[in-house]
Amino acid sequence: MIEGLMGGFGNLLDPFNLLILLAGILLGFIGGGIPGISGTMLVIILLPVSYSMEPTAAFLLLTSIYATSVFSGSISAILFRTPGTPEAVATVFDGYPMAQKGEGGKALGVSIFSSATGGVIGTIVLIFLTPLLATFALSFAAPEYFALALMGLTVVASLSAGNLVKGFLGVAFGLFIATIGLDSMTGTPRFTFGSGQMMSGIDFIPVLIGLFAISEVLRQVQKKPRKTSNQKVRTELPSWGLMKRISNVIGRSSLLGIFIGILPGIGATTAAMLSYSEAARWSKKPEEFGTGIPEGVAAPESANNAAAMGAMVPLLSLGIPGSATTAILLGAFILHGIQPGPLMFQTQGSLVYTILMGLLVANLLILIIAKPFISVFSKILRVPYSIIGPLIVLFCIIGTFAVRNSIFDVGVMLLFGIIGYFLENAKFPLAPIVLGVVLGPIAEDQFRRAMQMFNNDFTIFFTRPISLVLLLLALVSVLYPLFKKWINSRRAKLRNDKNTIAS
Amino acid sequence: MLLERTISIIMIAFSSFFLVLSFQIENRTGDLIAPGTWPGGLMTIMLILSIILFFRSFSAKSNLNITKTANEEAEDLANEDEKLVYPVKFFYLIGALLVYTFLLEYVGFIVDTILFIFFLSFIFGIKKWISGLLTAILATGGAVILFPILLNTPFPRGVGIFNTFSLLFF
Repeated sequence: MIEGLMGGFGNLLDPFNLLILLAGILLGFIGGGIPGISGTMLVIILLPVSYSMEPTAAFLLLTSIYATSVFSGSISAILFRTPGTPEAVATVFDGYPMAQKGEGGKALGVSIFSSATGGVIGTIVLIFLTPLLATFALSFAAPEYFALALMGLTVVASLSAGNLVKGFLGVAFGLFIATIGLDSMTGTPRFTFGSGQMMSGIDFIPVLIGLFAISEVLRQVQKKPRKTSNQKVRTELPSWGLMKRISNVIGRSSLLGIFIGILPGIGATTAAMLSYSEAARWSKKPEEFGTGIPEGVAAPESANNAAAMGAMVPLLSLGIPGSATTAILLGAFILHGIQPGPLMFQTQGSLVYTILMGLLVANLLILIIAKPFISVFSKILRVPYSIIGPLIVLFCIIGTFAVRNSIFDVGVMLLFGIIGYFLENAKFPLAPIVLGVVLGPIAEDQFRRAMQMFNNDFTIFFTRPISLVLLLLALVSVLYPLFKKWINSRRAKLRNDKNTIAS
Repeated sequence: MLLERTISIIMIAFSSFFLVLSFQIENRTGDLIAPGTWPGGLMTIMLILSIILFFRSFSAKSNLNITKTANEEAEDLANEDEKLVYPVKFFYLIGALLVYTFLLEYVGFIVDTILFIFFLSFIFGIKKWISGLLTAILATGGAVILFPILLNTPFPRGVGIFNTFSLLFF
């Protein structure tokens, strides 16, 4: 493994790769910093640029954007009270009060330091855990893969929403979209209505771009143009004393973040929120949280960067994406003819290790590049949405078109943009749909393969130990929210009874 | 709630329609696990769930009991003081996208995109028409240089005179 990592580092030093990595980091900074462009959207927007690149360069670009945009969302969260990315929402709680107190520079420094530390800790866990999981997964056969995909889908459906029915509706809808086109096992056309374009199926890139980017633009266009403000801040990295003071918080939040990131379906945003409330709970002076203290910035910022790296673990080791952005990365791998999963370490070892080293370097470079970047940043933020909006739409169209050179796909993108807009208005979570579309072919193929292998014997999923454990986990993830609701309602009822007795 | 009810009705129609279609997918082997089994199962699940959603949307109680997840709280904060003030622009944007997609094959990428971005920058609230035109030309120019010229992506050229015009660039 050390050999592989050294090889990966060697690949990074290739001038072109290094240039791409730097470009990715800067793009991540800019995109994450501008409110209205999230890391997910940025990776989507840059997919078309990566189509024609070598896989190494393409994935260095996409993953470094993914890693750094999580950090830079905090810049506008601290300075303008507008989180640049959803992941930075929790940073507002203490970051903005700090800026109001005139400690904006200090808050930015804390954010830089904790993001980089959280990201590096996350990457180190990623580097060691991924090969382990991949080796373990080598023994998987069709029933295990089906159980794994099913577990991923149920966990996403039950955790991301807080509303089981809507989550599972999304999953079923997504899985269904994936069945349109020629059946991969028998070649039978399904739901094609005799159309040649439907025959080749609905590609998931237009679905993704529609659901995440177009629906967001459709919402942004209805908002009032954002006022751009002008604020000069000198970033100061934390002193030794401050570093010592927040190191405990960073350590705990990073570990929590990684754990949450590895779980499918809940990503960096939840990790940041949870670690903020955990940090307040662990603190000796919880009442100070929210008034502008460095711990309140350090906790969410280290957790979201760590979680972003944690979400890469299931993607690289099992081929099962843990979040929306990693689902897009999975799509990018497939576009380049690479199937992520346990075999990737053997077939694409050099690429995987280069990506891992790239992530490590990207997170380290946050420390060095962020400070000069922020001083330039105030100028970039002045670009109004009336210019950024049309550009996003243009990139979405090109990105969709370039996958298969198909105008039909652009239409599909538009359709899913509208679907995504209304579903989001009705508080439907979009991530289950996306994971359904991405995991659909895997789930169905492995299910039918398992059925063929074992003569349509359904018990096979329950008699093989690993598959049984995975299915039980899936069941737990469904029952847990119901159980929690039941407990809550009982508690509320007891309280009500008490109140009536007292009165 | 009205939106939720409408969506659940659409979903009931959608899943019943495709459930019927799944049964009609030909099954050459006569096996239990046929090409239609998987989508049929999915549509059954979706039908049941959307019926549940439909009936739940009538009981107002379910709205009160839902405890907010961390995610939703975060979203609320992000959406704070960002109200949707121009609902009509939603339809402008969709209309523009539809017209653009339809014309792309006939007019070609360059002309269609310049007009589209120019129009879009007004929807997004640009003030001066000259800056809208500048955005349109620069964005289209940048896209043409990056994709067809540098990355060899074949872009739609359009028909007739537009085809000839596009050959000047890529």
